[in-house]
Amino acid sequence: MPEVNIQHLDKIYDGGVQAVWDFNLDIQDGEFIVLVGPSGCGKSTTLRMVAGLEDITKGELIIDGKNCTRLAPKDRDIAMVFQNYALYGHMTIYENMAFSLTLRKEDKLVIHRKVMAAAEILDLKTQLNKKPRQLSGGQRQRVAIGRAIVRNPKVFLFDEPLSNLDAKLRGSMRRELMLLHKKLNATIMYVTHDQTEALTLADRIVCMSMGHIQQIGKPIELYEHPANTFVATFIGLPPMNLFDGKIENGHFVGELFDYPLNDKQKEVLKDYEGKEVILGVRPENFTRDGHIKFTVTNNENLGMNTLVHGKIEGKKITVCKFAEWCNYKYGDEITLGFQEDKMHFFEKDPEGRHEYQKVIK
Amino acid sequence: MDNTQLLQNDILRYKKNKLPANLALLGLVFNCLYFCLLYAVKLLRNPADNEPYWYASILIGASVVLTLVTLLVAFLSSEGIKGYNKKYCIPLLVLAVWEIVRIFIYPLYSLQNNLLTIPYFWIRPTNSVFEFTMMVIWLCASAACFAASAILGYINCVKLEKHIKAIESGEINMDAVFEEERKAIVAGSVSQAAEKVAEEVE
Repeated sequence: MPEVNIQHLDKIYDGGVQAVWDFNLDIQDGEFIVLVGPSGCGKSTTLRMVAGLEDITKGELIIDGKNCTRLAPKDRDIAMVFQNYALYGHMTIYENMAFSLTLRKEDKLVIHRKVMAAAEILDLKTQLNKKPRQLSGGQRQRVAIGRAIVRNPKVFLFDEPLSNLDAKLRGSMRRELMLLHKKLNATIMYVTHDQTEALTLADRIVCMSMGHIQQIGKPIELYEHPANTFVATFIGLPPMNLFDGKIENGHFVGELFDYPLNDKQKEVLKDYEGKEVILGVRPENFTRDGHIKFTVTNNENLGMNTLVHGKIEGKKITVCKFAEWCNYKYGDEITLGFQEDKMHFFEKDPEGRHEYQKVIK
Repeated sequence: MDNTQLLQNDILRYKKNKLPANLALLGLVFNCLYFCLLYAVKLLRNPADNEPYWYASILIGASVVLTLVTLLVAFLSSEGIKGYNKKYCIPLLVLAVWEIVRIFIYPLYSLQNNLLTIPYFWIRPTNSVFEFTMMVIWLCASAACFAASAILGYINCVKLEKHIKAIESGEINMDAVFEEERKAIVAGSVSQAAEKVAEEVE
């Protein structure tokens, strides 16, 4: 499997709308890259540029050392799997999987070998004589993947392949995709807006917003060390809680509470004395041994943990996640603290947009 | 049995029996050409009084019904044989024989009685030899297609039956045949077996 180098990719549509800004990414051999972001952030456009379905306005795309920027899609040796499967309804599963090879006029025995081997890998051998309408959504998506596999492409592109499936099936397909990636050791670019898919599948995640890359890193890096407030709130469910405040005399002084910083935090924030910052705390990083007054408004038991919604000092709506079954009622008051090593501080640049404030390292 | 033969037989499991089915349909087309000519007969001469009269008797109804039945049986047999159903070879063979027998009914009658047809495409027949010849050609072509369809269909059905039996009894293991390809896909390369087949084809 080859490397993919994407250098300074821009996409400007005819109307002048720029969908992708200076996209840079080096994908290693056999790497599973997930492009994640909200709708309209440019992730699908980027994938379609790699596939050749959209023209590249500026920048270069190099696959396996070959400049593919202006190559036709058929000459790039990549395979794409779409959200809506794009299977031919009048053909059997076998014919669907063999279709691309038939178009290339490959010998029917070679086609048969490849289709049967792919069907074996995807556990579709018993479905080969059926029509797509006779299969479940997950099986159809497997067929779409099979159609990609038989071509033996250099890179697999997946454009939100699990979005059409129900939650349960999506979970099982996610595990199947992980297994498949391990089996094939394929180079994969995968687009999704579902952060669970991104966190579970990716070797590296590319988090995008407004056409810009916000952060590239391993899932754990994005979760534990978000680069800005956008990544902090986009990755993680429920999202990170953000509190505006100031650093004063070794304390984080917010509108709603005052929190003493430890020595390590003081050292990191020494240049921000008297300045405004944003404190970020993930729901699961709250403790119940602090001094911040929290009034419960809702208690959601999820089995293995509980989401507790409420307000701090009657104002800021906050979500906490506790790792046990809780039975709080509306109006109950508890006192919260933070796991100190899990507190995130972001700059508050009044000229910058609130959702893209950089993390303080 | 070598791998190539095994693969050729295995493909039958996932492909329809298209060639015999299409041959049966082609036979049906020739049959249509025949009856177009049959119903293009302009007039008959009454052999008894040697006077012309319009071709209108109960026979025309019977021949229409017969033609429809022939078409229906041919079409159904074509669909049946497409799904590797061996028993549909029998009606196809019967149809083939019936097409030959038909030569000795109307075509021969038209020849003996010097029947004429209305202009046939760009040809204006002046005697019944043309009509007879064309009818015989269409009927023979139709019979040949039905017979070929039945024979080829039967051969493929038997081949597939044997192949499936061999797989079910464990006599052959197709998984082993595809193992190399599976490994090649997993390794992201083209298998030696596929390359070999491709080379042979070239």
